[in-house]
Amino acid sequence: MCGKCGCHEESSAIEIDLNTSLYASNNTIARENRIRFEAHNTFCINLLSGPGSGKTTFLVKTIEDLKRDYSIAVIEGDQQTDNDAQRIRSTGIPAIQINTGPICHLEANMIRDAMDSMKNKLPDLLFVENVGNLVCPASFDLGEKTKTVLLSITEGEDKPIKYPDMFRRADVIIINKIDLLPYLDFDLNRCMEYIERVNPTALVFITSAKTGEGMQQWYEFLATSHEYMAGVPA
Amino acid sequence: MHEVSLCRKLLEIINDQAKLKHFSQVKSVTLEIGALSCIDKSSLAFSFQALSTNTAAHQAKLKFIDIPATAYCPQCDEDTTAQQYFSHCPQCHGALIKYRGGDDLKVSSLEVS
Repeated sequence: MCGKCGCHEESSAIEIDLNTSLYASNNTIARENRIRFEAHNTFCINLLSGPGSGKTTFLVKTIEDLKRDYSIAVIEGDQQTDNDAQRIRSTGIPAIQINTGPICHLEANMIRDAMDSMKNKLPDLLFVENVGNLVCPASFDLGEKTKTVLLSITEGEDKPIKYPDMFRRADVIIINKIDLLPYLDFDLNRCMEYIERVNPTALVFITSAKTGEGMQQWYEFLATSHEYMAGVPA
Repeated sequence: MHEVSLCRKLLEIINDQAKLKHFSQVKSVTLEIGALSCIDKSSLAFSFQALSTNTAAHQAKLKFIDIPATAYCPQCDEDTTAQQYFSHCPQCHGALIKYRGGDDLKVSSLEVS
């Protein structure tokens, strides 16, 4: 029935074709972010993992070892608090904290706004520590050069097949906290098989941010990637 | 599980179209939902109903078209479609690898008056 006059005539409806992705506005901003990073020779790493896997400790260790050779900045994403940004700042490098509130992931416009606040002082290496979540952040391109997924061995070897969407999209997968291996029933070979199944082309590093084991290979990857980006022979 | 964020973007698109094409009511919204998009239809419908109050899309029906992903069978050396991860080849039942596509959520069309 017509809500205006009460008649029972079928109102004519017209169809509008759109064929528009709901990620379109995010992807447009992500592309702009990517162009901006490349213009500044900034290698941007989107660091993803479940909560409590050790991303911030891993970043602090990376920063302490590389800050003499590269300018570095961090964009931190958490629902609340600036605890992680404070931990990063204690290493002497700048960190911008984004509080996403009810939103469970970072989006490209948040990264764009963070970059605007840096006033074009973009560093050699920009780490984006995403909200701890192995599901939603995978779907949102931020304009990064690489998606790096961190998995700590305390989480179990089957995370890659439990969260295939995240692990499939990773360029780099880091298996962290390897110093704890003697105390856990973690099957490293099985984990590598699971990774192979969902993402046979990902680079895999096995590390301990606590002892430094395996971190050198990760640093070599960062160095090569940054130099490749800047057009300098590695 | 980010249906609320995506519904907001959908309503922005609908709102822009309403201004451009001068319609006041949306009867239905047809969405193409990728098999690997991690979107739950009932959560999306619930979020849409909640967020579309007092908009042109209030009471609009959501219609879904399922879009499969593409995956590769190394035994048959052929691509095939897949509805989820860890699927098997319909021909040889071998494990499929190299999943791609099927991860988008698109508004295909609107029915308006």
